Amino acid sequence: MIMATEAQTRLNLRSTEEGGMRRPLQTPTPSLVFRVISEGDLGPGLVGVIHTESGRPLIPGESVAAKVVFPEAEANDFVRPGARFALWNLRVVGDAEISAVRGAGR
Amino acid sequence: MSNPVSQAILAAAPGPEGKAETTSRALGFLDRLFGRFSGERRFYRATSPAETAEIRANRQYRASPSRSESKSFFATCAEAERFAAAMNAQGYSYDAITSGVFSRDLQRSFETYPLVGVERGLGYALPNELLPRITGVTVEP
Repeated sequence: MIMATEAQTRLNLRSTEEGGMRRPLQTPTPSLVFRVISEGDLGPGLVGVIHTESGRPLIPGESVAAKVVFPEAEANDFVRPGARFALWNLRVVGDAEISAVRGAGR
Repeated sequence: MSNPVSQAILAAAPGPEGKAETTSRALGFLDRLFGRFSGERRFYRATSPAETAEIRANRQYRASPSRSESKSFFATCAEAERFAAAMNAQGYSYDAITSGVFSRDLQRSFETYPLVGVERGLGYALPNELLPRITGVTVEP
C-alpha cells in the first residue's frame, strides 16, 4: 500500500472579487492543486484531497480548517508543519498553511 | 541574445525554406519550451465512477458537479494510471482512464503546472467552457 501523507491545514480562500473561485466548491475535493511557493514564485503542484468538517463546501472569501490527504508518496518531501502552499485552479485562489502532519515518513 | 527563446528566434531566422516554415519551427520550439505539443494529440484523465458513467453515456467531458472550474489531464496514459492507483490506495474510487483528442488550439488553452510525483510530469488544466471541444472521448477499460 502506498503511504499517504495526511495534514491538518488552514485554508484561506480569496474572495471572488479578489480573483478567488467563482463559486463554492463541494468537498471532499482534489480540484485545488497545492503549489509549492519557492522564493515568491509558484513551484510544482501536489494533488491533495480536501476534507472539511461535516463535508461543508469551500466558500470563496472564507478561512477554514481542513484535513488534506496527499495520496502520493512524493508529498512527504514538501508537506511539513509550517509549510505554506498556494491553492491553484487555473489561477491562485487562496493559500494553505500546514499545522500538523501524519503519515509517510512522519 | 543567449536565452533559449532568443536562440530559437535566431535559429528561426528566414532561410531558403520560407517564412511559413520558419514560423512553424519557432512555434514548435516554444510549444516544447512550455510543455505543449505540435498537432492533434490525445490526453488522459483518471475518472471517478460517476464521471466514467457520464462519459460512457455522452462521450463528452462535462463540468463536474463539484463545481470545479476546470478539469486536469495527463500527457500519458501511464501517468493517469499511476495517479488512479495512488488515489485508489487511499480509498478514493477511480475506476477508469478516459482520454480525448485535443486540437493544437485547445492545447494552447491549457494552463500547465509541474507536478510533484507522477514521475514529475506536467498537469494540463482546461477551463470547463472548453471541455465540449474535446473530441474522440474514450473510456478504458
